[in-house]
Amino acid sequence: MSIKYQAEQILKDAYGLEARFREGQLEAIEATLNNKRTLIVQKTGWGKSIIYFIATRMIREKGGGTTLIISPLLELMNNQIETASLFGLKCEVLNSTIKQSADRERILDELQAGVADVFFTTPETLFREEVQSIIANVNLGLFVIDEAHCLSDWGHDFRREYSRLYNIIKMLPSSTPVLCTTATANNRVIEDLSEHLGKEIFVSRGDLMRKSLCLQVVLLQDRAERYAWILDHLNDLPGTGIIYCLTKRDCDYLCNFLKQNGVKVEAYYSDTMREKNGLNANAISKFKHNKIKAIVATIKLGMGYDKPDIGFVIHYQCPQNIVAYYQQIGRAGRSIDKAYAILMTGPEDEDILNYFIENAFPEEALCNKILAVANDKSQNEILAAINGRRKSIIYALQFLEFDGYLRKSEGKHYRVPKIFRYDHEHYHAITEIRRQEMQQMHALTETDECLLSYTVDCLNNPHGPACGRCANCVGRPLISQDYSMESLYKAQEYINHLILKIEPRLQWPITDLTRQTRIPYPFQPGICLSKYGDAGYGAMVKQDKYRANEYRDELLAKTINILRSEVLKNDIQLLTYVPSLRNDKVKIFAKKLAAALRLRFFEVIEKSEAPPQKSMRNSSFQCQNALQSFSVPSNVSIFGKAMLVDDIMDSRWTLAVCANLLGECGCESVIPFCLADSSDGGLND
Amino acid sequence: MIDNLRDIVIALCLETSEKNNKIKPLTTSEFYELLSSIEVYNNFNNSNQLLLFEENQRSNQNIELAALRDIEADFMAHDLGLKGDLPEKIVSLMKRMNSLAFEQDKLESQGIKIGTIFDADYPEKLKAGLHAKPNSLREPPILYYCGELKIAKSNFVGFVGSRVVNEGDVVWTQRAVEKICTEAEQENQIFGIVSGGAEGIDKIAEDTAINLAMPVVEFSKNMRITLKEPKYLDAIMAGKMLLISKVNPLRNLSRMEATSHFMNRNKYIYAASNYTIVVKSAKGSKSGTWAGASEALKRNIGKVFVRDVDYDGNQDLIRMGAKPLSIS
Repeated sequence: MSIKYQAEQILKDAYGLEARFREGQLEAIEATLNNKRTLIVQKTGWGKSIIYFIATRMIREKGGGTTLIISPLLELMNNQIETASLFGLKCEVLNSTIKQSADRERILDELQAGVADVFFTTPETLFREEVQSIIANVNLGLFVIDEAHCLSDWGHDFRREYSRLYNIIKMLPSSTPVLCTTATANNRVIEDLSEHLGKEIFVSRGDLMRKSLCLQVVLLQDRAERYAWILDHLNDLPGTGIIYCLTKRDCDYLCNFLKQNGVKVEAYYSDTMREKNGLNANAISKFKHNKIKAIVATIKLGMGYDKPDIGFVIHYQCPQNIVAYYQQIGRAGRSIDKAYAILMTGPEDEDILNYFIENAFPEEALCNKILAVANDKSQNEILAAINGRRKSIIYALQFLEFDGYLRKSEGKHYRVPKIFRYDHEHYHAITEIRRQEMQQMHALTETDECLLSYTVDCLNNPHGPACGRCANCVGRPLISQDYSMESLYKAQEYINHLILKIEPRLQWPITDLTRQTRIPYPFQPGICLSKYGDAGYGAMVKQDKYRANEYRDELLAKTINILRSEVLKNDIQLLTYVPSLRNDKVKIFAKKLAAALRLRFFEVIEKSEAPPQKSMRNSSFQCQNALQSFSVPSNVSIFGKAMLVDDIMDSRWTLAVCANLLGECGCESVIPFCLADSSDGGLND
Repeated sequence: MIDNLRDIVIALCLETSEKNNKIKPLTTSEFYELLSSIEVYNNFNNSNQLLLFEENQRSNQNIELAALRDIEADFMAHDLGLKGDLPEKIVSLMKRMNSLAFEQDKLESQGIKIGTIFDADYPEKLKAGLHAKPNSLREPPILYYCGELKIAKSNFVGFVGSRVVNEGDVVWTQRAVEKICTEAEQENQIFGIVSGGAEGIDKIAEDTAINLAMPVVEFSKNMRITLKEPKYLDAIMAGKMLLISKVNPLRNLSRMEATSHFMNRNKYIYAASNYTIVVKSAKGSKSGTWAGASEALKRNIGKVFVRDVDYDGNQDLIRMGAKPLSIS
């Protein structure tokens, strides 16, 4: 019996006698079953799952093993179980949402017994000890890698934990069938995947144009203008939708602004606390049930998120590249005829995107430093040994681990005997391409062409006719570009009132002077006026820091305004500041502030000559430097609660060390205030 | 289905590092039993093709190891004559063929690779040394190693001896290694050393050789421990050191397995080197050094030299036929 005949029978059993394969589906099934390495690049909704379910049925009927489907998407898995059951397949899903250990054990037992036809899991779960410890007992018939573009570091959504699957594929017997699927891969990614999957790869590729999408570019530079536009036009857009921001902070700001103005929205981005408190799950659930107009998200609301009736996607900031853009707008209009994709950009986009691009690979010098010291050391010991930014070191450690130069065992790192090679050429090529892709994105905002055609052309889709629906095809804006003065005023007010919280430091890092113990007198949650350099107060602080002799009165007035209620609420009586040897700007500011707030101004902290705190790159070094720079004279006693003022904070170690010194003198509690935060917190999803 | 022979040997013989392994891999002798039964079958088949053709359609074809995934247990029992539960065991081992990629990845992430008898760089010396008559031992179908297998192609002197050493033993071992190094250089040859990587004589010989940039092959007692030492990591990366283990280095061995693994290493040291020097040995089978050396003598594995010194074990081995060795 031919594969074609059998496959058609299975399709008809599942969907009825009228069911027919779409173009390319049968060929992909045949390729998979002939043990070829197969890559499917087709838009969402084409029916990729039919390929692996029918192939699975046929493999199982011949007594073959279980199909392993690796996908980064939890949501998708549950949707697919239903489809699998249409084909009479028994599905098991194992991922982080299954918490009960009894359930997990049962699933793994069934997997070993060969009862499950299909086993769905995430790469994270797949590489967990519990799965790894039994996987050798499993008869695997077919390997399926969903969202396969994540494998390629040429891709827009490369994931290191995913790339480990490249090694697995490399070690699979060449006769083992492997099926990779994706909706978003350009030529470059396809080439890279083909190279890793083996020579005889079969590629199935289809048209990526989406009929329901209506694209428009709304060019408004200022943040307040974009806020105002969204506020004014959100209700002009059909149904519910997604507003994408580049950073977590932007999500919070925009979301709170819209909430304050009576719009039902929720934020969604990666954050341990948000996960713990169920905020993300809550947001998703409200969104799913159309209880909110929009969800304000980073790219964490990513691939494969499948809500069929999404009516619009707004990009508050410009995505990194066209592939990401295509994928994000592709969330909309799956089961409805018309959906809007609005693209906005801001002056801040380029900085943010450049930051992502430039930090994509750890520096070679840092890698070498780490390899020289890392053997037999914990992460904290490595941080204490290298003056580098914590994030960079941790990122480099992960990078070195994934590339097989380091391994981790019982919390320590060990060198693997593999000669370190920093692939300059490769990294450089990728960085260059990412810059070009950013330019492509920028060009989209300026083109007169059909916006959708331009987009899919960048994905190396065969050039087709214009969409006829986008703002360029129609020849006028689909949604008015205007916003009301009233909304603009609200947005400006809101932005000017944004203040940041200063989270306390509670534990010392490893330094020459401290071990990882609790800080005896940690400061209380404090207040920071602005993000250093951000439009508004942040920009004023930046200007005054280097040019003026004093911080301007506008900053003082705003600070007084914010702190008045805090002083009353917390019963603060005293005010002191973090001294500097370079100038008296902070002292002058603090003195004026104390007078205005009627707090007793006192000077007790002493600063000695030390390298600038800025040159210290991680907690161990920053804290040690602060510990060595600040002191209080012996025999000083302080009674009451104090405000501790500084101009610019970064790591918070200066504040933590000074607060602790004040605490040692008897100070009851310390609340810090800073004019600006120069840390890069929030600059990721 | 035709598979790569290497993948088949791995499926049959790889023992994973996990405790909850449901299926034991083939032992060395079971593996060779399978190979020879296929060979016997094919020979028989070729000489009796006409006769068998009528009885069994399939039997007019030769069996290939590469097609093992398609051979049923019944056939293995009846036609290949494999006994007991071996046929069933082979069938279940073949079923895990696709999932072993994960164990191989786990090994590789620690720098450990797998070599099989079907690989071109499987150490020939080891094969030849073990095959030598009258012992005719078989080489392990798979080896776990770290470094480059081709290192094992050089000339080697094995060093074995006690874990407990005194100053004199240390100096003697160091001088012996140095002497091998200088003499080899004079004759424009490369000589390396082979050891078991244990404390005492093994490590002294290794470390001396590493300092002299000589190639070193270690039949590791516990590769994981060796791999934590920066000096060995450096030597491996410089292409000067090769670690080999017959058991999966990531496995935690039971006491019995450990004992047999520790003892087995002796055979490989003797087999893989041009000659082996026993530096210091106690007498009697309680001493691993003595037991290993006397086995090598009895079974003719490699050439055995003994440092001619007044230790009971050393003198005993000389009486048993080992060649006495003094260095000036």
